[in-house]
Amino acid sequence: MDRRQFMVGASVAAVGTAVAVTGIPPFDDMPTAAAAGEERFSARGRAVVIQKVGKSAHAVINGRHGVHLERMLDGYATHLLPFGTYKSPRKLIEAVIQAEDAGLLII
Amino acid sequence: MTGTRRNILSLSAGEVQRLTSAFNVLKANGTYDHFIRKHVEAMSIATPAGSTRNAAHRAPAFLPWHRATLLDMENALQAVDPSIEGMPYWRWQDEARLNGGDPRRSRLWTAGGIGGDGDPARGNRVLNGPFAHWVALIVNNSTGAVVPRPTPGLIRLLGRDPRGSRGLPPPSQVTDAIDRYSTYDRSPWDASVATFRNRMEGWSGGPRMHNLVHRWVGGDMLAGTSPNDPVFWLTHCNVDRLWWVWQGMRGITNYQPVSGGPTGHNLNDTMQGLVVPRTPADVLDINRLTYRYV
Repeated sequence: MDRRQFMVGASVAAVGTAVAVTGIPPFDDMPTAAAAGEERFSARGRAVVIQKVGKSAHAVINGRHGVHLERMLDGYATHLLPFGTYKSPRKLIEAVIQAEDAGLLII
Repeated sequence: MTGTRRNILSLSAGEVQRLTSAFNVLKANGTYDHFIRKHVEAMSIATPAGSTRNAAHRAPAFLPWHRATLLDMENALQAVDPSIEGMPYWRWQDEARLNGGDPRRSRLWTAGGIGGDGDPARGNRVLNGPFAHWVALIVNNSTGAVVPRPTPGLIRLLGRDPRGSRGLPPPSQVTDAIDRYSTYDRSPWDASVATFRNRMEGWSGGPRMHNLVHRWVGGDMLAGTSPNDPVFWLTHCNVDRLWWVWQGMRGITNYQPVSGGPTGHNLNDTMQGLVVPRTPADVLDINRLTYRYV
């Protein structure tokens, strides 16, 4: 699923909640206040906000860069590191950030 | 063209050199990078939107899609150098046994092979071998662009990538997939099913098989741009060979789904994100594709 497709799904899933996830990249419209199902942490110098939306999750890194996460098997997966799953959204995002620092991708 | 695909460890030094030289020609003229971009494209086509499947993975077309792209790359290599017999395969399941339990010692990972492990002191970049000068392509997730990595050199972390796995699949995993799974695939046609396709891909009971090889090589092989590293082709050639072994036991034409599955994954659907569009039905019988495994 590309980002635009995710955003369509996310917009539908967010109806009736306090989260209004609409628009297109660069994902600068995420809520600034903590919300239910939201996790905030820092990893390797980046500020990360993860918002769970139905069976998916969306991470915003440094308030701008978005990464879509998919619930898969007993964990979470992303097309950026497509050959495994991670136990939690946080573990996955930490791996993606490590991968960026290793030069494998740009978030 | 016709192909005779052999174990890469059985090739002479001259044969390996001709193969890697042809890869270098394709890299220099942009053909190789086109294959990388098509793999990324296939990865980004969710089937359907919102599912965990994509055009080439986590779904039935995993095996035919990669058979098709292998064939296209093999044809491209032979167009550069007709003396290349075919795409060689890498029997990753044998490497631990052949190398005293340490597959990093394989002569595949030498300057005369496809280059060694990455240098931890130099960003895990491969500094020797025929591809040491290659500029990898990486995905910019913010823009969707596939762009050159600023620093030349492939990245490998054989068995030591913190995002990967410590070991290669043992022969028992190969036996398990071929002997125990008689059904090619089944609904819901995704990473959750216990079928031959999914055992080979490595989600069922995983990480194992194909996924585990990507994870063991690590570095560039961990990303959607994994064809950056030519070991991608050798790895998938072995996956394709094992599918052909299974087809010899279970039948060539028992691909599933025939219909009713995700778009791009049914028997007569055009698979998405290939260099040369083909259907799964087009690639089931390697005799018709005029290559063979020895």
